[in-house]
Order: sequence, then C-alpha cells, then structure tokens
Amino acid sequence: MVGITVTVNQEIKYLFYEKHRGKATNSISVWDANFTDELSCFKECVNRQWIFENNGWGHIKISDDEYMVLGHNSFNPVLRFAKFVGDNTGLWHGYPADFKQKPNDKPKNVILLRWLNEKFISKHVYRKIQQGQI
Amino acid sequence: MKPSKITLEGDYWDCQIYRGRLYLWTMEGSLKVVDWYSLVKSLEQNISQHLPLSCAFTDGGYLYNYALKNIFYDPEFKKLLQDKFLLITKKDFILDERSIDKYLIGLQDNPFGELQIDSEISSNRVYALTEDALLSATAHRSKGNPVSSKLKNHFSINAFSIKANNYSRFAISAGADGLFEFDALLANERHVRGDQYVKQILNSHSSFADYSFFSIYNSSLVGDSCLAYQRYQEMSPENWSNDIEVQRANIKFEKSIPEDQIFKIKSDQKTVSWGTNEKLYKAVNGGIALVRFNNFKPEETFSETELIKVDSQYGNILCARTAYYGTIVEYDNALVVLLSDFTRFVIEGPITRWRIYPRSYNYENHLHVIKENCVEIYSFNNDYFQDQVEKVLGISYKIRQPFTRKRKVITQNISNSLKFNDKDLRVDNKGHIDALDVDDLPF
Repeated sequence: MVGITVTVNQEIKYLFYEKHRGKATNSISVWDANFTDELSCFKECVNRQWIFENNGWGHIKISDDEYMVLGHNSFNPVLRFAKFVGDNTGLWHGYPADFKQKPNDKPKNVILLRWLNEKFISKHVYRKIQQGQI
Repeated sequence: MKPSKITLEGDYWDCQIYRGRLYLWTMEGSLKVVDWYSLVKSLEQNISQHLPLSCAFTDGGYLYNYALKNIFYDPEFKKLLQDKFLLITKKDFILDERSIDKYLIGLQDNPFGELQIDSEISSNRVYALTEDALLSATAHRSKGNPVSSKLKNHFSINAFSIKANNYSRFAISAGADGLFEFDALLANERHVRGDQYVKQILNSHSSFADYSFFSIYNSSLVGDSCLAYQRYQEMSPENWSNDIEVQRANIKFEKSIPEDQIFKIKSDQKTVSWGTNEKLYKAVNGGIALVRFNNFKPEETFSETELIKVDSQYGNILCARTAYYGTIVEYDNALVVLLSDFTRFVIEGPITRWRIYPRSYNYENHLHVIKENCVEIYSFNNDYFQDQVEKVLGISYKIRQPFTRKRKVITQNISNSLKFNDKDLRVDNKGHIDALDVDDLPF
C-alpha cells in the first residue's frame, strides 16, 4: 500500500492511502476532506472505540443530523461517513464509506448503537444507514 | 379525504400487523404484541363510530366488497359513508404507553437480539433481516411468548431490505451484491438445500424491491433500476407433480428489463423508479411517469407511458412503495402520499420507518409511520370510491367476486395439497376463510 504513514499512538499507525486520494471510480471512494480532517476523523474513531474487530467507522458531525462531506465516488457525489480498516500490525487506512452501494461498508450495530446513545445520530439516521439510504 | 389516525406513544424501532395483532419492537430491545381489535374497539365512544373505525382500522378490505359496489353508485350512500369517516378523521386518538399495555397479548425480549434492518411476517412466521443473516421465528402463537425465541437462521447475507409476496417468496435487496429471492416455503422443508431456496436473481445494484405479480421490480438509488421479469410456466396435466420443489421451480426468471426500456424516457438526471403489481412509476421532472405492467400477456407487457403532474419536491427520494390507496414516496425529510383521488398527504419528518400492507386483507388501507416518540397509524379511505381499472395512482383492487361452488372446491384442494400460504390473506379477523382470488394463484 502506497502512501504517507503517521503514528497515532504506540500501537497504531495511520496510512494516508494514495488509492483513496486519486481518481474516484464506481468502487473506489476518494477523500475530499483534507489530511487533517481525515486523521482527526480516524483519531476520534480510535479514542471513542468505534471499532469492531479490525474495522472502524467515523464521521465529523457539524450539527444535528448534519455531517461533513468526507468524499465521493462515481456513483455517490456526497459521502459523509468513513470506514477504517486495520491489519494485525496496527497499520490502519480509511476511505469514505458508501452505504448506499455496499452493505459491507455499513457500521456494525454495536457501533450504530453507540452513535445513537452518544447522540451522534438519531433513530432515523440509524435506520437510513442500515437500509443504504444515506 | 383526510386519513384517520391513531397515535401510539413510545420509542419504537419497527412494527408489523398480522392477523389482529400489532407487533411493536421497542428501542429498549423488547417486543410488544398488542391485541389490535380490542385496542380499536376501545376507541369507540358511541355506536356511530363503529362502522368508520372498524372499516378504517380493522376491516380495511370490507368496503371493496363486491356486494357493496352498487351502493357507492348512489351519491347519497357515498356521502353518508364519507361523513362517517369524517367523524373519526376529526378526532385525535392518542394512547400513551400505559393505555397500550392494557391490550398487550405479550411482552418479550426481541427474539432477534438486535435492532433488525427489516422485517416481514408471512405464513405465521416473522422474518428479520439482521446485519449478518435472514432469521425467522414462529409468530402468532397462542401459548407462551407470541413469537418463539427459537430462531431459524436461513442464510448469511448483509443486505438493505426484504419484501414478501403472497406466495411466501421474498425479494432481498443487497446493494452492490444484487437482488436475491428467498423461498420461505422451501426453506421450511427440512430436506431442501440452501441453494434451492435462495437464488441470486440479478447482479445489478438493488436498494429496495417489490413484487409485480411473479416479477420483481428492482429499485436502485445509485444505478439503473430494472424489472426482473419472471413468469409462471404452467404444468401440463401429464407433468403434474405434487412435489413442492417441482411446483415452486415453475416460476422462472426470464430476463432483466432496464427502466429505460420500460418508461422510454431519456434523462441525463438519475431518478428513482419503483413498482408494485401492475403499476410501475418513475420520478421525472415535474411529476411521475406511469407504465402499466401485465405479467400474464407477453405481447402486452407494458402500456404506453402516462405522465402525472406532481408539483412539489422534498429533496432526494429514498424509497417508494405502492398501496391501493396511492403511492408513497419517502424523501429526505418527508413522506408524501400521492392518493388515488389525486390529492396529496404529507407527513413531515424525521421518520424512523414506515410500512404499508397491501398484501393483507384487513390492513391494506394502513400506513404505519414510526417517529421519534410514537408510531402513527394512518388509515386512508379514499380508494373505495375510485374506478379501480382507470386509476393511475395506487394498485388496482381486483374486486373479489363470490366463488362459484366449483371454484371453491378447486381452491380448497389447491391450498390443502400444496401448502399454499398467503400472508394474512386467507383468514379474516373472525377466523373465517375469506375469498381467495383464484386468478392470482400460481397453480
């Protein structure tokens, strides 16, 4: 994987993966958020433990039910949530997640419940994420 | 005509109504099963409310009855009935949680153990699409918990939505993984293998889907929508088989028909299309386009496109479905019901979930809308007075004519020998077997 790696803490490094900074395709989402926002989105994911096994999810909330646009792909011009993937060495990378297209990009229920309970999302956003409408 | 409404307060996630029971999944992880008929009965303050309340909320199909058809030709009868409905549309029926609990049949933990993505009830089983699998459990039990805690895991899938038809088949929309069809009748036969009861129908993107007779209209929010055209191939008497697998295999996928070919509308802008039974719709500039679909005459599969003006926009379309009383479109922040009498009813968001039950007998006029702190149960009663053949908004109701003796015998034989199970269709709320529409039977 090609890109710039930064150290987040003793166990975790984050890779700004070149693939997700290049040309968007149907299946490859790219970041519109700058590097600082990408990293802060990942750090919040780590700090708040929005992680399930080797996958994590994040967003940057602006106000009630409003989230910063993080990126796009050829199908979906507005992607507001991110998915992060880690390996066994502690190296992580992320990309703007496309819930409308890929059910596997959706956060696990345990993460959605945390977002709901911590008031990062409301009930209707929870259901819309589950059903690929956001 | 405005709809009637019952508001049930509480923090709900999902709901279903089936054979006189209202199923309410709460956010705390429990499932409440409510005696719906007793609850509606309790709202009656005097005898003059009995007819409109029961027609609106517990006997939705009653006024479509063949025997009543002529009555509505008389304007005085029609006005009398409309005035009766007006009596209850003016009232706010609001029940708090304590009042609802008076009609509880059962309260139990959510048997699926998580906030399911989608659910359906068919042939006395409740199905839940969870984040990893399609699960089911026995519903409508008379002893113990109303829904069994013993789960059946049918197969692993990560998907967006499920939709059942009257023949215990389910369309499963799995985003980029495509459209699948699950045969619940086969899945509940012990000897049938998994690859026989779940099949991938399309590999193109699927956000939500609904049945148009045997076919499935596949709607996509990111790509092109299409019709998965399926046909029932009749068995000749010499090839007749009682083997359930042979019979079910007679509904065959033939081809995928892209929306461009159906609607013949060219547009640079991507818009959503959807369909149920004979009505296929597509959002277009300034309104929606309608094409009528016939699954039974290959030479007349699609009608010419008709344009229906709808003059307002509420943002992006997220989902749409069609009932008898109209077509319902979910936008970012509103639910818009385009009624068969050309009026419009708007429910402002945020909306957690909404459901319609066009394939039931008694609740075909319902719209259930879950909001932050309640579920609103709407009843639309405009459609009884519409011409069911000519109407453009909403599925056409095929008025069920009384059986001839011969037809009844045939139907009973079919249902006995083939374990044909309808979703809430065969038994009315008093436990009587109601009229089956033999024209709709696949056999």
